Amino acid sequence: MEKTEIRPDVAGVREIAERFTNNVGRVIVGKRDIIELVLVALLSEGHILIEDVPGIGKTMLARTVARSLGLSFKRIQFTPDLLPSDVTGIHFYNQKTGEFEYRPGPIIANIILADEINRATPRTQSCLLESMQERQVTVDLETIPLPRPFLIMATQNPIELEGTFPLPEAQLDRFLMKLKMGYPFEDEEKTILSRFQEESPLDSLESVITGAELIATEKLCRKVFVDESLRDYIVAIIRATRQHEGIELGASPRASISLHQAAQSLAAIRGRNYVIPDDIKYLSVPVLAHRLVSRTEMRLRGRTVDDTVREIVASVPVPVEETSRAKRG
Amino acid sequence: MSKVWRERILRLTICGMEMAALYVFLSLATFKATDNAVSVPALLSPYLVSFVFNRVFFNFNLNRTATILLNALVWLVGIHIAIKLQLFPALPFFDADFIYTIPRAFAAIPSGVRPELFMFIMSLLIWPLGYRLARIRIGFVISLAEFQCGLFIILVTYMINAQISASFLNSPFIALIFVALAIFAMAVSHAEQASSWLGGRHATFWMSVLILTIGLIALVGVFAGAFATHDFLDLLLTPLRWAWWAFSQFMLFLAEHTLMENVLNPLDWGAGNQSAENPDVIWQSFGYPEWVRDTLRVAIGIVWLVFIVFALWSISSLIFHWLRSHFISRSSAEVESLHGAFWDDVRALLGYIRRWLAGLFHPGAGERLAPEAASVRHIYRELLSWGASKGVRRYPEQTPYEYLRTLSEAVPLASGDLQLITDHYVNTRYGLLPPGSDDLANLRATWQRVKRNGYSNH
Repeated sequence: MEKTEIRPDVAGVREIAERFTNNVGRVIVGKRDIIELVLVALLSEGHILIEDVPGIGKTMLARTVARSLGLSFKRIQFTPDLLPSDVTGIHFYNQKTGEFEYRPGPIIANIILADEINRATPRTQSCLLESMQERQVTVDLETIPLPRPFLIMATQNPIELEGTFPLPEAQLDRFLMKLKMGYPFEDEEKTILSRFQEESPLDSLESVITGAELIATEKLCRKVFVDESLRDYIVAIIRATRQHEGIELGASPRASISLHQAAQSLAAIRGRNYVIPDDIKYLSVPVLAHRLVSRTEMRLRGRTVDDTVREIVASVPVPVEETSRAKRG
Repeated sequence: MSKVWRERILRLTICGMEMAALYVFLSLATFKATDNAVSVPALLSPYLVSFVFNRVFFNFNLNRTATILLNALVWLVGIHIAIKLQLFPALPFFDADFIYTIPRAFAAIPSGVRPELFMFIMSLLIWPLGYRLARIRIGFVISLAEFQCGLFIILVTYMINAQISASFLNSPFIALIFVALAIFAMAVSHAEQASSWLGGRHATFWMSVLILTIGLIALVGVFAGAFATHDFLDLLLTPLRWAWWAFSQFMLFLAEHTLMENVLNPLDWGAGNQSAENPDVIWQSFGYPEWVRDTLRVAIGIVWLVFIVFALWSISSLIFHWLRSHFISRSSAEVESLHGAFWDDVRALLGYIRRWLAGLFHPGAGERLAPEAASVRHIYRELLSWGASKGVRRYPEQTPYEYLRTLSEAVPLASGDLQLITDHYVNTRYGLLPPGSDDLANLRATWQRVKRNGYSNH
């Protein structure tokens, strides 16, 4: 029986996505799939962890995203001596007014670039937990809401791990997705050289989406229809991660919500007001891989978590019609 | 010569091959069953009629139900005409003796096969062959397969002929015609398609493998003919006689308790029981009131009436719709589908009543799909079966679009049509957005086109 709920008109979302992608694409050469995933995270109110080698353009991407949205942008360089108060802000005594005043830290912005987040101590890393999940910070018992939209783009280097502090599971689980940009192709690299020859294209970049527009689009994406069978499919994938022999810690219910919301955002970006299984499969690796803890023997065999997630997704049947002849083959 | 004419000639050639093989087989069959009371051309006529009829209606794009109903109707009428012309030329068409001739022949099976029954059963087996030939895509593989099957039939028939010393086939003339047509069909189709009968590394050795299969067929034919003795054939027929006895007892029961009594009584079902080894009818030991019998009479009568009315309505409305859509003069006018308008209303009403009843007895019972959604999903299920028959099975972890990519690689010529079907399925299945009536009609036509074209694997 047909549903009678009102479906959102996602033509506007697709148009916004095109604008955003093209605008970011003026600075970031190629990587349209990464830009699309960044937009998915934005529309899902999720945070992004980018793990890649230096010089790939992680910082450039974050700055370009912020510039495209016309939102405030702050960069936090995480170092071993960084304190939580350096991130969240402090209360200081103003001698002139005779009162304690709050000086906001760099976390009070729309888009935060947490550069090399794994270089900070676990104590400093944990100060982001509340902000990432609750969209607020607590400083000296005072709770300060963070602006909306709020996105943390954290980066970390997969090499040079000496002296770094791996992110705890609790924090990794709060990132909607983990991305790897990868090296550009040869023609893309040549384009980068010509594009950045005289001046950075970022300097002349204009914003194409306002914050209010983004918030409205986020609400629209939450109304994208997800069929009951696809919800079951998402849950089946998540549960399969907990039962896989090579995984010590599987995905959490937060991962289910993340995958669900990300699929809705991706469907809207692609011009559909309903989710299809391809959306879920496409997002499985970026959304789930960083949340899983693989067993030692899997790591010793050289199997990455990404491969394991793909294997898990391939073991879960997609909800499609079945026929006896098709089953027999 | 254009491709269309080449295909027509090839199709006619294969028609000739099938007729030659059937001629040989039917010659033996009519000799054994009716002592040549029925001529072979009379037995072959349903094949020709089926082929011509289905070829003519091939372009009407009728759905499966209408096609089957039309075929059944034409076959039924046609076989009665054939039987009358062959066996009862003096009787009027609507004479009671002629109308009951087939049912009486069924009833008399235990005492032998009557010529009219033989014609009836043979036509039932032969009619689908004509239907098949009218619809399949002719190519080299089909030509080869027809040659092998026909060769097998002819060889076995000749072996049986020699075994039972029937001497009904005086010359191998028909077999030579078959071989000549087969060589023509294989040569032309192979030259046109430049394809091989085989795949993989054996593709270039197809002629050698063909000769080998001919030898194997000849060997099998010799063995089959060696076993075709009188006693062996009797042994094969005994279980069939027992099964018929059980069926005739059931028909007796129906005759005594339903409206069909007046129809079935003249058939004298009990006549065949004299030679039965089993005891008398066990149904007569059941005794129940007269009102049960009357109720059964009425119920069965209603069922038959509804079936006939539905068949007539469905076929006539499709014909009217086709006529209107083809002959309407005003280009801006929309052709209303009589079939869709009335039938959809009836189905919607029946569906509403059914859901209401289901809600009474099972509150919150599972919601049913809208008819359009059910149609789309049914077509997609058929597509999956079709793909599996092409050797491209959908794996459980494949999404519809992933499967589309795989299937399109195997059958690239159908990729556009498959894309359309998959798009509609995805919209319906995951978006709960079934197509409108026009889109649904287009989807059905697309699927019929895919099935009709066959599409060999890439």
